[in-house]
Amino acid sequence: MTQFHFDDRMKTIKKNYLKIDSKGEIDQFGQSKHIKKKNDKESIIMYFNVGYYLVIPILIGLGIGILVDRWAKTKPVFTVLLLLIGTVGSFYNLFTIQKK
Amino acid sequence: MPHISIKAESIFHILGIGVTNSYLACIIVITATLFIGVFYKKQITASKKSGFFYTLHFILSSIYDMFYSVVGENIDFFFPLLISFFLYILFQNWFGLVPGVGSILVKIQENHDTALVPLLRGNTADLNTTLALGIASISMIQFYGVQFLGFKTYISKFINLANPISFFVGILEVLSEVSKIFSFSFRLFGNIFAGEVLLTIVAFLVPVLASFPFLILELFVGFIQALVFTMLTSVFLNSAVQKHH
Repeated sequence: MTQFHFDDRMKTIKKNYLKIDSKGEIDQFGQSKHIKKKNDKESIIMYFNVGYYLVIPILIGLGIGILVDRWAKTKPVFTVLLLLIGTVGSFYNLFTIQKK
Repeated sequence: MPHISIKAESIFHILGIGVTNSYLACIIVITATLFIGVFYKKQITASKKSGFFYTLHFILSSIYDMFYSVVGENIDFFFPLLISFFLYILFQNWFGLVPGVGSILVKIQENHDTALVPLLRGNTADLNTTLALGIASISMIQFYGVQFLGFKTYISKFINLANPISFFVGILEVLSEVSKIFSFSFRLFGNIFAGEVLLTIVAFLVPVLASFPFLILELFVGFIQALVFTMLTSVFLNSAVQKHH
């Protein structure tokens, strides 16, 4: 029963601890290897997309801005405004990628 | 040297709607995939199975295991969608490399001029297809998000009137979803179209065997792009169906 509590607590902490096993080799524990591998695979796949994913919000903002300005005849206002929103969106995407 | 066109050309018209060369290739590949699917379904219950079945089964089960590591417990629910994307994109990418696709030319009448255009064109080298795939992928992500979390919980990610900052983050979240569509479609289109142009150019620069290494490279790129599209769909799908705190 005490063993169960100990394991349970170790799972929730999830930090990298080092331990020396019976062969005298230093090994990490406290974080399961499966979870670590999964995160690696996801982040590698995200790198294939990161270029487009960061540039496209700016382009969408610029495109919609130019179209709205052409329609409403308010030339620089919406282009600049939506370009800024697009840039913020681009940084938001960067933030979400980093958070994953 | 043939004229390289970014858009797919119409071969003939049915009821005023142009049937493009990429659409013809799409029909051929879908028919072939359908036959393979029927074959797989028949063999699964047969007592004596062929070698082709075991090869196919090995590939499918290794892809299943790979998606299991991303999607987790929901794999049986998402696998039909993901494997459809994977096989469709993979076969379309590889069909564009088959000899004859892009090199057999037909004469068409266009505004009183005759022009030579390729009879077939790899379907993923057409921006319409990749855009449609991107829209389908992101729409299914929204659909599963609503199905798993409920309409109110899921939509609160985009429209949140609790405070001005959450409202603005909601707008950015919408922009992020739209940018996913374009990033999916432009990446796939760019890679496959660039590969086909490269093969054409190299074949005209050096006549014999020079395009062979590039052909191997394009086989690899076709596989990687199909994998990346599907893996990204599964990663975004996984984050859409999980509860945010």
